[in-house]
Amino acid sequence: MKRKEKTILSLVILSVFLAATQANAMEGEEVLARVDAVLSAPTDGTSTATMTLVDKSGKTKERRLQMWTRYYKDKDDWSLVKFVTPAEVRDLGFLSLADDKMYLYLPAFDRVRRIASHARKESFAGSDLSNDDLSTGKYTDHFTAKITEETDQEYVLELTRKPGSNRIYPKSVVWVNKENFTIPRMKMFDKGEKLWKTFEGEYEQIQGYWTMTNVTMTDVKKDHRTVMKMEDIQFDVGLEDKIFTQRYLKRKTKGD
Amino acid sequence: MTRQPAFRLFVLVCGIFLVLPLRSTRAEVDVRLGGVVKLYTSIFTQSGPGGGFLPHEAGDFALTRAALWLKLNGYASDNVSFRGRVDFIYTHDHDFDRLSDLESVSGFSSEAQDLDVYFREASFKIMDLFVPGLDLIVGRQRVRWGTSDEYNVIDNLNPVDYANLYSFDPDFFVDHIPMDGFTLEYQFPVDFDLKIQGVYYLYFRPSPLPAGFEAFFASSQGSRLDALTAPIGLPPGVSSVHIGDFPDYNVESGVFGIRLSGNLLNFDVGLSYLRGYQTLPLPERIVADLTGEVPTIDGFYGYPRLDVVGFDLAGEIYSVGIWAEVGVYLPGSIRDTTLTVRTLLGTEEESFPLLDRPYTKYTVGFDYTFGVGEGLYWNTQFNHGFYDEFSYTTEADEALGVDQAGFLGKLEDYYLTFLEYSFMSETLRVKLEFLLEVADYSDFSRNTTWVLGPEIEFIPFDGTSIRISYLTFNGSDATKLGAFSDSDLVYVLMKAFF
Repeated sequence: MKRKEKTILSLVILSVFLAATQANAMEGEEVLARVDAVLSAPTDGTSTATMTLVDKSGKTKERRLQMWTRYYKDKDDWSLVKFVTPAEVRDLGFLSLADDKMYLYLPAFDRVRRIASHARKESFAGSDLSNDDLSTGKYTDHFTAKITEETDQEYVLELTRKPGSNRIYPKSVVWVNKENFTIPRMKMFDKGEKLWKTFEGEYEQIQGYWTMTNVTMTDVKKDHRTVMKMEDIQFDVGLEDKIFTQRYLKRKTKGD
Repeated sequence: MTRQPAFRLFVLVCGIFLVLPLRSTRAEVDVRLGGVVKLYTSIFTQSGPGGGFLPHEAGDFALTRAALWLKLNGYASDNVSFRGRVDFIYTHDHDFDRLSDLESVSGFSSEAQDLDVYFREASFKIMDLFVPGLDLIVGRQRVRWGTSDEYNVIDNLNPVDYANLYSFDPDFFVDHIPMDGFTLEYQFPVDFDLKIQGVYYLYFRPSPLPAGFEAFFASSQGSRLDALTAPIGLPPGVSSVHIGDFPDYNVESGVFGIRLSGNLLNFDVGLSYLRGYQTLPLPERIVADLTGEVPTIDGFYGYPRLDVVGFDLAGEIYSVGIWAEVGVYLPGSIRDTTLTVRTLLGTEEESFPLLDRPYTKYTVGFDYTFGVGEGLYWNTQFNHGFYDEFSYTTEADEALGVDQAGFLGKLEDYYLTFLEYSFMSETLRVKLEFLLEVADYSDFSRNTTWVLGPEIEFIPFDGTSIRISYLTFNGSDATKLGAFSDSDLVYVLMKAFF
C-alpha cells in the first residue's frame, strides 16, 4: 500500500513537473510569437540603410542599400534589397520570398539567379550578416523557445532550431524587452555551441511601430563587426505585390 | 579596326557623357554615369610551337588589353528607363611593319590612337506598356536564356564572341555579342512567376571569329585537295574560302524567340523556342577542280537556319541548388552539303546532310555552400555540347572528315567544378577550378584534356579588384583544349569601378 501511494505520489509529481515544463515552454513560444507579431506588425515598409563594416584594426568599408518589405502575419515576409554603393555592387539585388525562394540579381551579367537555401550560410556582401539574417521567416516557424531567465524588464529565451529547419544558427540566446517585445540583444552559437555572433539592436517607435533603427552584428570568431543604420523609414506605404518580383529585382537603382 | 575615327568617337562620347548630367538636371530625369577602368595581361609560362596560339617563349605576353567601359543608365520617367554601354579598348599589338606607321602630321599617329570601340548596349525599357505587367525593351541588347551557372545550351539568341574565346579574358570568355531589336515581356497578373517573353532581332549577326580562322579552313580544305592530287601525281593546289549564302536583310530573316517561364513545385521552369541561325560558318559546297594547270579547291560556307526547342529548370533539393537545361537542335532548312570533284574524266558530285536532325545538347549542375568559416562554395556542372560544337552526320564525316574533336567539331562532354572561399569579409577570394574535356570515352587517355585554374582575387579597397589566375592545360592534341597543352599562362586582371 505504502508502495502504491509512493507510486501515485511520484506520478503526481511527474505530472505537475511535466505540466510546469510545458507551461514554461508555452510561455517561451508565446513570447516568441509576440516578437514575430511586433516584427511583422506593419503591412509594408521601405527604408534605406548604411552598412559599415569594421575590421579588427578599425578599418571601415561602407555599403548603402535600399530595402522594401511586405509583412505577413501568417507566412514568411517578402523583402527586396538593392545596393546603391559601392560602385562595383551598385544594382546588385536580393529578393527573398516565401517557401525559401531567393533570387540574386547580378548586374555585371544582367542576370537573375535562383539561389538555394544553402546560400543562407554565406555572408551578405562581405558583412557580418549572413543571407540567413536577412531572410524573412518567422522565428516561431524555425525555433522552439524556452525562457531561461526573467527580470522586470526582459525575458531571456533560449532558441533551439527545429528539426528540418534550414536556419544556420542551431542555438541562440535572445533578450526580449517585456514592454514592447523587441530584441535588444542576441547571442548566436555554432554547431559546437561556441559563441559565433552577437547582435545589438536599437529601436524607435515610428508610425506607431517599434522599429529597429540601429543594428550592430559582431562576428566574435573573426573579431569583425557590421553596423547598420536604418533611415528614411516609412510604413504602410501601399507597396504592390509586383515590387517583389524578378522584374523589379532587375530594375536599376534610383538615386545616389 | 578604324583607328582615327575611333579616337574621334571616343572624344565625342566622352563629351556627351560629360554634358548629359547637366541636361538631365534640367529635364529632371535620373541619370547615372558609371563604368570600369581595366587592365588585363596574360603571360605564357611555357614555351611552345603554338597550338591555339602563335609560337611563343615562356615569359612572352599572350595578350595585353587596357579598357575603359562607360555605362550610362537612368530613368526618363517612372516607367521609362534606359541604359547604354560603350567600351574603349586598346589591345597591344607588339609588332609593326613600317616606320611610317609611327609617323603623323596631326601629331597622333595610328600607334598612339590604336583604339577599338565596342558599342555594347543602348536600349530603353517601357514598363507597363498598354497593360500592367507588359514591358517593351527596344534597342541594342543581350537576352540571356537558361538557368545554368556557367555554360548554357539554350542561350542562342545572341551570338557567341569566338574572337575572344582564346583570349581567356574572363570578361569576354564565351561572351555573347549584343543585337538590335525588341523584347516584349508579360508578367501574368494572376501569378507573378508566370511570364512570357518574345524577342525579335532585326537581322542576323554572325559570330566574330578568332584570328587564323579562314587560314584554318583553307588549310583543312588544302589537305583534302592533297589527298586527291597526290595519288595521281598532280602538283599541290590552291585552296580558297568563300562566304556562300548569307541570310537576307529583311523582316522575314530576323531572329525570333519566345520563352514561357513559371514556377512548378517550387522549381523555376522555362520552355523556349528559337528561330535563328547557325552563327558559325558551315560548309555548303566544296568544289575541287583538278582539270586546270593548278588544282583548286573552293569552299563555300554559309549560315543556315537553326531552330532550338529548349527546356530549363532551377531549384533546390535538400538545400542543394540544382539546374538543368536541354536544347533540342533542329538544323532547319539546311541544304544538303555538296562535294564536287572535277577531273578530266568527268565530274563526280555527292550530296549529304551535314548535321543530324535533331540533335541534343544538355547540361546539369549543382551548387552547395559548406558551413566552413564564411562559407565554402562548391559548384559543379556537366555539359554535353559546347557552343561551337555540332552533331555531324556519318555521311558528312565520311566525305569531309568533320566529326572530330576541336573548334567547330563534334559534340563533346565537359565536367566543370570549382571551389570558392572568401576571407576577411570578401577582401580576399580564392578559387580553384577544374575542367575535364572528354572527346571520346572509348580511348579515354588519348581523348581527354584537363584544365586547372587556381585564382586569387584581392579587393584592397571598395571600387577596385586585382585578380591573378593561372591556367594549365594538360591533355591530348586530339581534343579542343589539348591544343593549348604547351600554352599554360598566368593572367592579371586589375579593375577600378566608378
